[in-house]
Amino acid sequence: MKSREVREEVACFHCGDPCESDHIRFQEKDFCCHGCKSVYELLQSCDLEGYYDYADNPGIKTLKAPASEKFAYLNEESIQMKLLSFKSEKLAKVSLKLPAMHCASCIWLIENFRKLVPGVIESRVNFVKREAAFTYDPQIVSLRRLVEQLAAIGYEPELNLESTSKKKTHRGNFKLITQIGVAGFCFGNIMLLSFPEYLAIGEELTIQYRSFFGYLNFALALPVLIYSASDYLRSAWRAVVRKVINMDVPISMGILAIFLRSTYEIFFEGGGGYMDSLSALVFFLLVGKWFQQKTYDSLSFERDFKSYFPISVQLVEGEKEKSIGIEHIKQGDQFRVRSGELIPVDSILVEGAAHIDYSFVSGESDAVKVLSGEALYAGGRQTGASIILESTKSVDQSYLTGLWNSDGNQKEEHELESFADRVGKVFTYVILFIAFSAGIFWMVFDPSLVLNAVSAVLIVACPCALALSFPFAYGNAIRLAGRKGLYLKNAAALGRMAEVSHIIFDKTGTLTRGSDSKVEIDAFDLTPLDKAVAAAMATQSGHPLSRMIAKYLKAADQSLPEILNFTEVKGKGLQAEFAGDQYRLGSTDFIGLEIPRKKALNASTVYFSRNGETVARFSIQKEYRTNLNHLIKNLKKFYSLYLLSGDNDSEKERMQEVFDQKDGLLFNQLPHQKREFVAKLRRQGAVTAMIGDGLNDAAALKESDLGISVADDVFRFAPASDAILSSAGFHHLPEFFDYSKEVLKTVRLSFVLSFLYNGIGLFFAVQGVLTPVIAAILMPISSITVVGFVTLRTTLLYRKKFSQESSG
Amino acid sequence: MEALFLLIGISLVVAIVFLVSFLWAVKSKQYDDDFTPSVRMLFDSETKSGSNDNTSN
Repeated sequence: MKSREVREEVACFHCGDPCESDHIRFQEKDFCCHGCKSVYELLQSCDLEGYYDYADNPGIKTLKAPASEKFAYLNEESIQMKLLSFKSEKLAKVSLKLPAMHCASCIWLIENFRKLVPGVIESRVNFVKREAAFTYDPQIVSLRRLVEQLAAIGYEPELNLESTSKKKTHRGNFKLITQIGVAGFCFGNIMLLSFPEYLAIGEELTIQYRSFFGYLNFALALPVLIYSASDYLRSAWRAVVRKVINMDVPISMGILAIFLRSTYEIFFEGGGGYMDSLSALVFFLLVGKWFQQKTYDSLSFERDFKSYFPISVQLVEGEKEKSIGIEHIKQGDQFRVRSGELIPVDSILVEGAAHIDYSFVSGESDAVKVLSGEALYAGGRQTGASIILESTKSVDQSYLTGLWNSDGNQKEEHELESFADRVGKVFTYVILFIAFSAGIFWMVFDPSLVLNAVSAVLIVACPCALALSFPFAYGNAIRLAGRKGLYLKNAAALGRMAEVSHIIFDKTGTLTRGSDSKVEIDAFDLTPLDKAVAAAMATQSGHPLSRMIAKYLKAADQSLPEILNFTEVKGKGLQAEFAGDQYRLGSTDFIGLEIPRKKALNASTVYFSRNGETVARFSIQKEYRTNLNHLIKNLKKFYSLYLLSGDNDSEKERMQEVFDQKDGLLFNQLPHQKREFVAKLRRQGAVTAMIGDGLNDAAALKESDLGISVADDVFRFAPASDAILSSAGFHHLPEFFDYSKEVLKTVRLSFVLSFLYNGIGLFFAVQGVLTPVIAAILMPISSITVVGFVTLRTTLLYRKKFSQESSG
Repeated sequence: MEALFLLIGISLVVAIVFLVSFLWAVKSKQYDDDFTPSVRMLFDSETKSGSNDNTSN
């Protein structure tokens, strides 16, 4: 009687997705859809089957053919100017971001792109950045065609205002590596030249040689001080000018004290100085900084809303249409928005039938019908045929920009003072106090030792170990968290994570898997014609369940039968006639059947009947993430939890059960309400973590102390945030929070260790007997042990926390 | 012992050569992408008989 559609477990040769039972067989290979097959054919015709040699099922499912005019704007000279890095008559170069690249096969295919598209001369991939640089002949192939071909094989480039208006430079990283190189070079040579001092044969050497080594050391230390350490000195100076103290202040005090005292010794006492300690310190500091900064270049955390917008629009001037850059839209311009495109600016509808999906803005995915002359807001997505709009504002004044600008600068104000800076502040005062006391003491007892003692205190107390433990502990922890799917923007984000007290969840896309629901059909006596009728009925209705059924039945892709006498009974179902038969689609009451209701908590069921006989049942299920209950229960032990959903409250009961609480679960939340809610919690002193996806959470993500955006593909689509959590790592959430606390604890322990060393050093220093040998031994040992300790402990903790799961 | 001045001078010059070549390598973006070249070297250069332009590296 009941025949559930059975799925054969066959993976698509191209993309690896499971194939339906009625999938395509072509040349002994299985394909899940025509898109995949046609890509295969295309590659085969160009002798590019090697694509399938380097990885299994490397392909990317081309979900839908891009609208034919989608890339028309790439023919515009002004837009080309922005994208191309070089252009002449016969040669053009462009660098494109291809987030879909994911394996060796992708690299191979893109680098052999010239075989696919005549006119492409060379293409080179930078996989780490998910970028490819193309060199092509603009007389043979246009940029538009190149991009269209990339899109056709599944590698649609990410083209948006962000990537065009600011060309990202990697000067920062370049500078840091150069600084490390210089510091390392000087460090090594100074060490060699200091050997006479270490071996205490300094006294035996003639003055001539001693001063020669001294001068060389001085010369080698100069670039370290002036170039490599410049960032620390500058930062400390800025802090002092603003009358605050950060971690860089005690470091800079130490650096300057070593340098000045060593210079004095070298030039006036013929001594060796402590230049080796100076350069070692700077070198290790920079390496730590690099380790900490070596985060995820290819992920973009700093997106603003403009990233989501198209680069250009189709301007309508009377009969003519041309594409112009989005920033050139003026108030009163008329432009065309095609199906699937975003509305770039607040405007009014002039022509066409507008069904706008505001899910980016409000989280509600039901399309809104807009009548001619009514207002449309930026961020909406047109789902019907193409429409013509007239802008009412310029891009920078529209609704979404308003939302962003209003909270742009707030974060700075109540930024949590980082733990490092808090410690640094106390530390500085203590050191100054000890140095001052030692100075006064020797002033009384032996004035000749005053300078010696004071500078020695400053040198030894220089919190090298302190300054090193942060970057190494956090750098290592960030790297390890990334392995499990949590990509943190920087160390500060990890630091704040440890202090979080309140966690706020978004629902759709965060607690549920993606925005789609899973529809299952139990067919009892369903003919293909019935199916088509059901599709036709579902398309006529705006009810969310109908829309899901319509989508499931692929109503948009087929020609539907003309149904008669369609009526919709609100809250019950749909009714229509076709070929003399009476069809109903709706709840059991509506169908008029006494079927015992199989009540699944998170599934809605819809029945379909022909002339009173039930022929099919659709169950529509919100797919929640696995082990959600368990996860929430774990988090609830330590944190206050909230739910802010942009959807209606149909899932309220289910959510109340999952969260085991009635308060703090809010539905129908608009973006600014979400933001307000987070802001309110923060005013009450809570340290908040917002976990969401989608543009409608973006404001709240920014407002919270720690914004975590959840993404299925971390290289794509994620709103601005402090961290990106891949949905594969979602179930580790409690462990991540736990881990962040443990990392902070590790840092605290390392401080104890570092204070111990400083205590020993100070013991010698205040007595004025700190010799270069003691300094040369004590400083590297303390640095190395602290670095080793934090790296080891964070790694072991990571293993312990995440070991229960099979590692990926 | 005077040779010491000369020898140290030479050793510094050699060291500076290495420093400069390191800086050059950084500047010419050799450290930008440490993944792709490792994969690229494994690609067969044109195994299919149909295509014969061996311009790829």
